[in-house]
Amino acid sequence: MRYAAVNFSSPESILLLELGKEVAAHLTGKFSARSAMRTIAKAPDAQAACEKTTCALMGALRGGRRFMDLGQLSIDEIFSPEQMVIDREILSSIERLINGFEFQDMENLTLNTIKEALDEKSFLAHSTTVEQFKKAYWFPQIFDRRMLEVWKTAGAPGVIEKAHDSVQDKISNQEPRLDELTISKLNKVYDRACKSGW
Amino acid sequence: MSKVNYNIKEGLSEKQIRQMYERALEIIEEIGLEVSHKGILQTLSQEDGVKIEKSRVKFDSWLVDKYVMSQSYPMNEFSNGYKIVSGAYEQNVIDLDTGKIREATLKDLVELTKLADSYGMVGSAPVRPMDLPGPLQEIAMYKVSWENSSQKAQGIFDANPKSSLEVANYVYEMSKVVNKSFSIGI
Repeated sequence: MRYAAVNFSSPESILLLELGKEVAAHLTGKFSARSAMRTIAKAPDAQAACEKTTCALMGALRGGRRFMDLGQLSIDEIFSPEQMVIDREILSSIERLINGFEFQDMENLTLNTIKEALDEKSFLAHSTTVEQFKKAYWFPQIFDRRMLEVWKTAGAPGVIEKAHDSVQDKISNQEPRLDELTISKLNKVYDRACKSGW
Repeated sequence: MSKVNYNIKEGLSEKQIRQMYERALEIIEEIGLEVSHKGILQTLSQEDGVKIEKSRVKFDSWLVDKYVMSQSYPMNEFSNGYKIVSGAYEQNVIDLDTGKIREATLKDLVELTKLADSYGMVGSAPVRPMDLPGPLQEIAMYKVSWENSSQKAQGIFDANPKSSLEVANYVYEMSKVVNKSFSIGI
């Protein structure tokens, strides 16, 4: 009210978004899997992280699977490539959360694995640990999970810095999607448009 | 082996949804909508269930209900797993080198479309190339999207603007070259 600004990222706005989807589902019989990652923050900062995660997590827990607004800041006034990479990481974490876990029937579970590991004096090196670890865990691309000393030794990289490097790497290695002949045909149409006197 | 997932199910009750819908119908029937376009007013005046008082148009509940119930949504598009939509032709960008906010350019459009494509993202063009004349910005957003992305810009998440018939014609012509869908959009 103070700034007459549209704020799509407030808790109230998130509630209204879900309310709208619920009413639409009731009327049409079809649940919309659309969800959002909105923020009114102007930079990839703590406010952006909080608002985008709140919005996406609520949507995902309510069944949302199509997420809009990645990379967008100040609602839709600014685009940040680093924010887009961070948003994707947040969403990837949420996807892992939503996927839940496999519950193994324990009735026929033996204690052999525990006994074997105790004999070897290590659970870490046991084949089942390695196998289950790879299946059960989500591996972040830019979020850091190292303890302090190891992280400092690696140059203490920040999340935005890692997102920035990832952006540069992706942009420089991505090739056009069309062959030269099709691009040339597109260029002819575009060149005519350029000469329209705009 | 069974799967364990957590979710939120509680929300509105059926009674609350029905109440909201009925009150919305009542607002459209008794308060109506302001319509200033004379051609639209003329067209609406010939419809059953529509009352026009100067520029205020009121719709009978049965008519609104009929059209709401006949809506269909292409929900099957992009139905496999998670899909992510990046950007909606933002006019500004955070510069990769300086970290400052500035107007987006054609170079940004190319680079950011490539970036989104590397992650398989769908939707509209990430930024609007403000260094081009207005109508050409809209044409360039399609050209660059189709050159540099396998999934942008097409389908239900494409909302790139086409503000004139002339722009729409060029975009349509390009859509035929690349065999992509064309729609007027929102």
